Amino acid sequence: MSQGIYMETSSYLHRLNPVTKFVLVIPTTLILTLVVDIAVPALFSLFFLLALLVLGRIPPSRLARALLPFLPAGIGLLWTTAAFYQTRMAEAPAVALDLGPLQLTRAGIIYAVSIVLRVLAIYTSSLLFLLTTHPTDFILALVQQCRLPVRLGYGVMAAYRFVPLLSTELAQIRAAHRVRGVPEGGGALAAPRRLLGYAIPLLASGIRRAQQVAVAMDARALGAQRRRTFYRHLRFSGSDLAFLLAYAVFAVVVLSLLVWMGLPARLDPFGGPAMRR
Amino acid sequence: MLSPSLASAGRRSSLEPAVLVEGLTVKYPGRKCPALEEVSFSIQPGELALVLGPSGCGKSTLALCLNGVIPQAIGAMMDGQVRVAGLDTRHAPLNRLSEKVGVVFQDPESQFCLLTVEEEIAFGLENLGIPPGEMPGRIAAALELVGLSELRDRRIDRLSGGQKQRLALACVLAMEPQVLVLDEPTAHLDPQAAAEFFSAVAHLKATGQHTIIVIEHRLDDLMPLVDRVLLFGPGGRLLAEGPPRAVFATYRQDLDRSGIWIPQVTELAYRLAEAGVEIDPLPLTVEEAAEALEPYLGRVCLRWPPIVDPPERQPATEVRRLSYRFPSGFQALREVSLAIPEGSFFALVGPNGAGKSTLALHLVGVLEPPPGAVRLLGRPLGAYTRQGLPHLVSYVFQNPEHQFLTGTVYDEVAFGLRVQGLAEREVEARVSAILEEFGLASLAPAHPFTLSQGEKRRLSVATALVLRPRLLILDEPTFGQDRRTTALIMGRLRELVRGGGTVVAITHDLRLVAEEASAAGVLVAGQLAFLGPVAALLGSTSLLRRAGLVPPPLVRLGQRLAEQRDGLPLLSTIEHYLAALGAGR
Repeated sequence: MSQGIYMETSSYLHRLNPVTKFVLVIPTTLILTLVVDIAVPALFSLFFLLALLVLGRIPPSRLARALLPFLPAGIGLLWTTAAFYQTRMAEAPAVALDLGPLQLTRAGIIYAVSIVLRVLAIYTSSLLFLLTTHPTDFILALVQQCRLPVRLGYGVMAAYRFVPLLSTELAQIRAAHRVRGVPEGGGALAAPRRLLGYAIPLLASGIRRAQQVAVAMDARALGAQRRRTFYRHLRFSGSDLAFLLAYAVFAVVVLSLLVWMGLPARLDPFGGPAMRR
Repeated sequence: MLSPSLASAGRRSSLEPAVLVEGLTVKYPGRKCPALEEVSFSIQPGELALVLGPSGCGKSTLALCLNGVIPQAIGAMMDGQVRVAGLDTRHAPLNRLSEKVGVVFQDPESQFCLLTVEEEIAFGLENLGIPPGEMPGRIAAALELVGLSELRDRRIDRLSGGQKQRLALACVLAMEPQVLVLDEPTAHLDPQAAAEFFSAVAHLKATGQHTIIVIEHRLDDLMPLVDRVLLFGPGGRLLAEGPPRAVFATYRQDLDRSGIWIPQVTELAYRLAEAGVEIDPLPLTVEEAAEALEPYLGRVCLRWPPIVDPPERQPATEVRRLSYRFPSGFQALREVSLAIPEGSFFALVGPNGAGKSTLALHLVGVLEPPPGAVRLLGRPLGAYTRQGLPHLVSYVFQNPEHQFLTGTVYDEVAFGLRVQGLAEREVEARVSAILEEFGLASLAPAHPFTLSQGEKRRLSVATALVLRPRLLILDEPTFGQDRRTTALIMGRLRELVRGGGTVVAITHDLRLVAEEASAAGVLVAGQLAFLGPVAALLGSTSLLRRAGLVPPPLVRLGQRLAEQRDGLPLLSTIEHYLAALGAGR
């Protein structure tokens, strides 16, 4: 569990520089906050999902599992956005679904779908990064490409190793407390007090480990030399350029199609047509 | 010892010792007493020096002084001088120092920061600014030296503890240091992994290219390699320095008083000498002891102390075909059945991850067994209430900190008694008595987390014993403890057993098993591979190997003696030897 949802395999996407994949999230988010539409976020989501399946060699079942957490959030977002949608149009909106006290308008539903698709597109762009990038590689790339201070970068990596240890330790502490007859359940104050009881030994061992690692790294001359060399140099290669170019071409094509077909005018739920009148 | 004037008088390059420490005093800010006081010694190139001392005597501080981390990276006041391979640790740049001195620390979990074996070794080379083209060769050479060549691409989190420690060694070897400092490198390893680590050290020593300083408690496998011993006393002073045999022969009282572990055969020789069987020279290894005892084989007493069959007692705990699968799907136990009679000391052994703790947690109901699979004192475990169980069973976890619940040592011991609803007067009487006995009385108001490791262990055992449990389970009770604490705890456990209580010890410490336990169970991959008397376990080297164990020194000695003298049973504890050599009463 120390690696989040990273999936270990060898693929084109896995070999890309982590910074390349990370950086893609930024223009994607920008475009999708500016464009209110259904087709654009749908196409972007499709782009990332296809990239993951084909270029990232992520099995469909694995991809489905990674998408699963989005489902409840997506449905919740869809429902609340549609239900609380307020139009600025002068005339009474067309009611698409009448639920008694609640009436869902056609524009409201379209708007809600577009919002959910936008979030999905941003979610899939993050998946492209998370599923194919080991956290350690990301930090290495930040150190090598983005001049992240060496001590900070390697410190974070060392701390990262402790995550699985923490959960093992927590299980041991809970068992130990149970054996000693610490009452389970109890009043409203019992649970927080129990958690505090777990936190103290966890913190104590965490601090001790952190000190030990710091000393061990010092003993191996971390940061002692101004210029460090790199055994595994994460470079920007032709593949990175190719992928970034492909993304740019895709984005430009999708956006120009949109403009050419005049889609924003038709679908802008903020009442674009009304204002143009 | 070299006098300062001699050391500085020319001819430095050829005669300068690998390590020269003069008048070294180190004091941490906020502490009243120095961690090291006026320490002076020198070590010649190619020597292996063993550092011995009671816990808290500044051994680890010494390790950090040798590579300049003190005073350069850790702020501590330092007087005197330390020269390593000709460099003064106060002024030489840390990167130059780490090319001369490599340190391996004790915890395999907190020495690494990268993902794979290869990258981790490269990390040190990157820090030194070694050109990348040179790295693969150096990595391969370092892995070869510690016997890990096959695991070059392996991820570190998939290595065993023993492999991790050898990797830590490879990491410093790749930096090609002249001096190696090993700070309790096997403290967290099981006996087999420790033996593998020491054989890597032996291999290194044979190359003759390194000066090695080892801080260790486990001496039996190390002794053949040791050229010199540095014996520290309490307060960070150097008590003695010299060849191991001389130090062990002269300083027995200090070693005993400070609770420092010594080779088991040496301890045997001490005890035999007390009983009138003088062995000269003092043996340090099994081979030496076997040779020294040969002349006595003619007069061994073959009327072996009759093994008295313990009276039939009802089982304290009984397990019937218990299987357990973790939620992750890992099958931890497969059809385990056993019964442990009341009033006995039972040892549960096996390799790491074999299911020992999982089984033990079932015995006390922390993991809930299926109905009827576990019985406690004749009744199914399910028949006891959750409140009732802590009256009958106690469990001492491997890490004492995990079970501390309160803010003072006193409350910690009183906690279980109060849960039982005892009157405060009774609670006070029992708590004070046991704190006194465990040498914790003066610490009663202290926070448990501020205690030393040895004190924490004593406290955790005291919290269990004060309840007078019918069944007491201990997970690695001797782990990291000095000889005195171990003796104290074992004495109390013996008393508990004599009073009809039952002790189950999960352990890798076969010396403990040989001396205390009457029966043992061996778990391998969740299955019970052996269940029977301890003597049968100790006699089977193949069974021990499957359990990740190696025969302890006195058993190995006993095996060699038994080969030479027909009819001699396997001697495995000091008491056995005293009886057989007619030295006992």
